[in-house]
Amino acid sequence: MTAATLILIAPSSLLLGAALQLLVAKLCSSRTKGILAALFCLPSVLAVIGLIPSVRSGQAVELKLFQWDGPLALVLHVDALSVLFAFMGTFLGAAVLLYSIGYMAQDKAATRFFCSMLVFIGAFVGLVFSANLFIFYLCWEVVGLCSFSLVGFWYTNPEAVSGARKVLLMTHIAGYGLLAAIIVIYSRAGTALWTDPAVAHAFTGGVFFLMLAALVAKSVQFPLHTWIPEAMAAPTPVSALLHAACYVKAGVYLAVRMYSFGPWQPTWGLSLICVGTVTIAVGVMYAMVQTDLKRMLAFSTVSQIGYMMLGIGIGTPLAIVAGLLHCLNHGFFKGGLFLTAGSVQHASGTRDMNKLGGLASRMPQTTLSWLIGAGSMMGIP
Amino acid sequence: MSGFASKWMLYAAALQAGWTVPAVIAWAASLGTVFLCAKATSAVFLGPLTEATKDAHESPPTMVWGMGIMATGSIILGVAPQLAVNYLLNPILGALQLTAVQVTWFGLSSNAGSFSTMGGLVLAVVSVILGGLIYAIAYVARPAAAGGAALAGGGIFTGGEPLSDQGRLTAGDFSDIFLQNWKDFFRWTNVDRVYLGMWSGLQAASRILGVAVSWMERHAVLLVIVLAAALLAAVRWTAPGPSAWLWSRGVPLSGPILVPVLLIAACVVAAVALILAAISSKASRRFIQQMTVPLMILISMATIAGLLVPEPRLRLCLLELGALLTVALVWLTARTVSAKLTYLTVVLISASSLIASDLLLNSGQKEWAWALLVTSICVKLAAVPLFFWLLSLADELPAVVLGLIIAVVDMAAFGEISTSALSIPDYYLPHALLLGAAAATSFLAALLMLTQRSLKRLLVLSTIEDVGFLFLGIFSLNIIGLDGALFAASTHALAKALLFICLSGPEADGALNNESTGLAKRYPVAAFGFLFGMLAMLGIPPLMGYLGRWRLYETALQISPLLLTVFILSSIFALIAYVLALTRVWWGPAHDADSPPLPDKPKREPFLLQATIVVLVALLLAGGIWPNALGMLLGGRP
Repeated sequence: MTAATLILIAPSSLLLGAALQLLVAKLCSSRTKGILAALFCLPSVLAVIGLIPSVRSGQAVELKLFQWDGPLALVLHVDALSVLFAFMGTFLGAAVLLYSIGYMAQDKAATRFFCSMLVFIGAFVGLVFSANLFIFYLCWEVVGLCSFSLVGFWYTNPEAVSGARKVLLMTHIAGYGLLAAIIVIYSRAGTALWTDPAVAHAFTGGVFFLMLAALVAKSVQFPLHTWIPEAMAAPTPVSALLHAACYVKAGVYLAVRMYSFGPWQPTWGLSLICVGTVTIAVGVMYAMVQTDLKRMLAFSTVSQIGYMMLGIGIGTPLAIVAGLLHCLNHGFFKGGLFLTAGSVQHASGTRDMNKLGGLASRMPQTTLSWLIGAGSMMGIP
Repeated sequence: MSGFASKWMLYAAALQAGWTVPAVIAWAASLGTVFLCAKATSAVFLGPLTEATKDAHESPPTMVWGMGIMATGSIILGVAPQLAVNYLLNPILGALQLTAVQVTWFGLSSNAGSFSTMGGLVLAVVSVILGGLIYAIAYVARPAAAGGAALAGGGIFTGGEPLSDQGRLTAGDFSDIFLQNWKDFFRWTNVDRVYLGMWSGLQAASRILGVAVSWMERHAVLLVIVLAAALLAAVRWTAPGPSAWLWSRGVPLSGPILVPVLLIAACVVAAVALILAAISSKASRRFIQQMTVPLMILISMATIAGLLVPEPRLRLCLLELGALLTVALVWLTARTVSAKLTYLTVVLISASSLIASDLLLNSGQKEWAWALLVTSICVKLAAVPLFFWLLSLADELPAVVLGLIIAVVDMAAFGEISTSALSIPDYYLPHALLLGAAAATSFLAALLMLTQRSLKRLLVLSTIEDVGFLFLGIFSLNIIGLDGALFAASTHALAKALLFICLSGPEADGALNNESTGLAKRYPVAAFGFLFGMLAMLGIPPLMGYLGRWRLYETALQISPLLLTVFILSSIFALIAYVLALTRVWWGPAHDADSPPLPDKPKREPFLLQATIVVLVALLLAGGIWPNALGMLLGGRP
């Protein structure tokens, strides 16, 4: 199978799965829908893994599909960075979907849930594969909208409504920075393809800081981090996907991808270091005072993403690898911790740590999963 | 486990690059992470069972498998991070023209120097052994527990404070200590206070503007006449339009200029959808008896016929006939005489100005023709300073009637204007006055949207906000701006029809008022349609509105970055207003103590209404996902 075919399979399988969810809405049980969703994620995982040899020596695969909107073409550019993030999105997404089979088995709105989850992952794959910045922005917003609809999944619950509102407002308003930056690049360079060398000349300080605003909000960095604890009213698999794979990681991807746009000025790295460092401290302090299990994990995500931004801002090979490795590690351990928190809530009906206790004897497998996740987050070798 | 490798490499990288302070802060934060993980582990998994956990049991297998995959990944990445580094991360460095990093088992990096390589492992191993020893000593020295429950006091080191009666420190106890000792930190880092302050400021500005606009609405008839005259004079003498040499260049393009097929198609779909909604509504009998539906059909036919006709004079006549028929519709359905008179005045001024402009253009009175045309456009499309008249109609008319006026009649009028822009390009010069009016229209309408409780007023203001964008496209006179305006007008026709149709169901049931909440429970399809309609209006991808908006932002940037900033700000205000409306009126509990309960027991929304909403949503989505298909419909543009 060629690399081009694999590139197309990765998002298409997910979107087909979403379409199928709509078709079988009246025919299948919630559990069957969950199984179908997980199965349709599997080809994406395999396709992304299959792409690793094609990009391992540092080269990229470019695929021009068709003219999309007037002068803008749908061009996909897949390099190692795209594959890393696509791997996180699809692999961790598949694990979350597997978990959701049991978690959502009794929910009547399973079609909406699984359809949104598949589009969520598919849009994230589209985002990291896209070479056209306008399509990048499209995927960026689709990811945002899926998150909005999933956080507000239980839309009659005031807490969910409030959380969804905050998610959309804070991230979308900052997202205008990304759109403005893209428009400036297009206006100056005459192209929307970031792979075009002309983009390097258009990639100035103003453009960088506009993009920085968008990624700070998406990646829950200080001072645009306050939406993340409010998003905890979402079903727990959504929280896991949001934190581990497909949402906050979009901002990390953009931060690293900006190295491909053109050379960085020293102040740009400095600004990222400052944002990352402050966020590390603020995130962990707020996490320490939480009594709601999921809110504590949410604030710890704020802190952990700060580590990634610090590494990317320093910009040396070791720092970038450290930041990206932490991103991958975080996907696994934070995904696991959220799924564990979901199991705890599923079993006890509460996330309030003051009301919990003694679950090690009742849920040994869940406890083991927690200990591994917590140990990883603490950095125990 | 996995976090060790990446964190250790990060500290080493920061120290190597001279970033000592960030490295120390990151390390200190890691201690905090250890603390919070220990706290959560203790509170959730250790200690005695509680009321909430006494019946807990292990999760279903698929949930355990999901957690197991994550845990396995964490262990593999912790033991052999070189797998990720060699296969996934070093190729990224290669693509960025950076040198590869060498990492071995447990994440020890040879790039971090020998001290870091060995020191990291030694420190980590010592930490683990010490931690284990402390735990073992504490475990051996623990007091004997009666009945399996831990006793208060005894062998647990608490720092001196007495243990509370639950026998162990809870998560809340830890939090309270922290909150007390670090309260200044938490106060100063609570950035939500800043956002709330900004929001209060915006609301205050919106309310002040709202008071002025309310006064204008109360005197709408008089003010329409006075302000239209003032606008005519201002444009005639302060913004006199194209100079003589430009007129000489302004040769109309050969052949008749047609209204783009895309806009015609959008107006047709919007008209049909609104008529279907009127027929399927609970109020359909009243609508038919009052001649509302027949008039809607007549207006639609006249307007669509006008858009299809290539001959300019006949087109103008048909479109104005459609507009005059809407006066009859408003006369039949509006509740107050004042609203009826206001609309009559607007249509008369607009139509007479447009016809006079056409006649004067042919007789060589170009400056007057230009001024009359601008006046007609501003009156008809409710631009600043004449936007209050449309607002005064908002709560007077049924949603479908308002939808027809805005989505069909007004957008058709915009189609007519766009053809004149194409036929005589020099007629529309980028002029500071007009671009300023466009920006002000958009910005002020969006600011007013922030404090609207009535959904119909919100939608009317959103139309005015979008009219600012349409003016920007048409007055910028470049191809990308014109295309953007046509996409935006077509989106406007479809999305506004959808939004008003979504209101028609609750309105017919008497469930739509300024205190309505939780309508989605009873009208799920209408809530779904409202969400997509608002996203299309806001230009959020993947809806069709994105195609118009990015082009118009691009156009604004080409004129001035300040103009782009104003239009983005107005988009942000509109976004806030729409999201508040969605979450306040449609989502949430069905009703609360402050709002009246819904009048009837829940019923299914009419099938025809549901189908209409779904089709409109599908069209808006298809247009946004496959724009080139729409581009082909932009026929008529040379």
